[in-house]
Amino acid sequence: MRIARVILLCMLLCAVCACTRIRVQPPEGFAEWSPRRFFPGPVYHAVSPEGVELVARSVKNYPPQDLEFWKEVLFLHLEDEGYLPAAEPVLFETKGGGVVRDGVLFEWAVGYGQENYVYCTAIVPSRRRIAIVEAAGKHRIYAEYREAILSSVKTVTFR
Amino acid sequence: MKRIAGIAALLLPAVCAMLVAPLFAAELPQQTEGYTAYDLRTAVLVADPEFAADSMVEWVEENGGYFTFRSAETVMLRVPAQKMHRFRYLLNELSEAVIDVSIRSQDLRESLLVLRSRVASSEDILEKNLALLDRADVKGTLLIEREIKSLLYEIEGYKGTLRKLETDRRFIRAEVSIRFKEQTLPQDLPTSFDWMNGLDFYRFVGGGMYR
Repeated sequence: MRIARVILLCMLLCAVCACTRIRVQPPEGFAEWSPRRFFPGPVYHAVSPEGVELVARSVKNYPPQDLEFWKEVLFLHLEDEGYLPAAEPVLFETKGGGVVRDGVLFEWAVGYGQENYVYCTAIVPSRRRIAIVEAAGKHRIYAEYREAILSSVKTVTFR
Repeated sequence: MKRIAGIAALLLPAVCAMLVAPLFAAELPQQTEGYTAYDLRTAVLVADPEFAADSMVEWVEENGGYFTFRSAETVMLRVPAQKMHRFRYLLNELSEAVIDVSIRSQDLRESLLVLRSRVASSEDILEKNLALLDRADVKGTLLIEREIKSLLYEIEGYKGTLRKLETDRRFIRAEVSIRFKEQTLPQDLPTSFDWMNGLDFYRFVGGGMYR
């Protein structure tokens, strides 16, 4: 009996550790990939009928830094890798749980096969964690969902 | 001294204009409705190919030209000869970079003269044939009719070519290859911040990371 309890406790702990530590409202017109309520998995994943994907996850804010720092690092890193900015960075606010947090969204132009894609990377740092939202899709289709994606990113909240 | 300074101030803008004008002229050949046909081929890098193609088509239609082919990769336009400068400025504005420009020109005067004189002489012969028609017997009439048909066919051909040359004279043929701004594939460069190493477009669209 005791062994069973220990096993159950371990399973619960594992499940809690694996949970997404952020909440996101799906962009309008997107389907949630894994809408499990209690054990949603380590990442949030939504997809549009045309295949534009949005993935959100959170990582430890280490070394602890604010938006200004991470914004600079993220931009320089992706630019160094060869990504080209497709638009000006979008600064936004999230207001989940009564806390206002600042975030930034970058859009990058990437060629993939014969198509032109837009790769979107957004971050919302908190004191302990950083929410990361990625989205990508064919340029023309992404443009249709751009506003919906931005609205969704603004709903990022930490659990 | 003041008088010299005054004269210099008056002359300076004129001198500058004289010095700068040839530079612009060298970059953008003067083009009016002359006897030269221009063929402009260019490749441009743009952030949004669809937008660039639409803008070019819209611009050329607003400026009295037209397009013959349009896709996200290539746009073929007929640009009014007088608007060549403005068209090249438009290309500069729309693109991140103009990769390649080649302009071919052809003097049409000789071709136009030859064609015009051919039309005139064929029309002369046609008139003479028509005049002969009244006096000819049946056999002669049939022969003249055949001759007239062949002349009309010839004249229409010449006139068609003439119209084409006239169009070439008035409209520049422009072929614009539109390329997406991204030319090199992003590389995977490591960073000291672990979470940032996970940000990769190709892994993202491949889905290997998160599913």
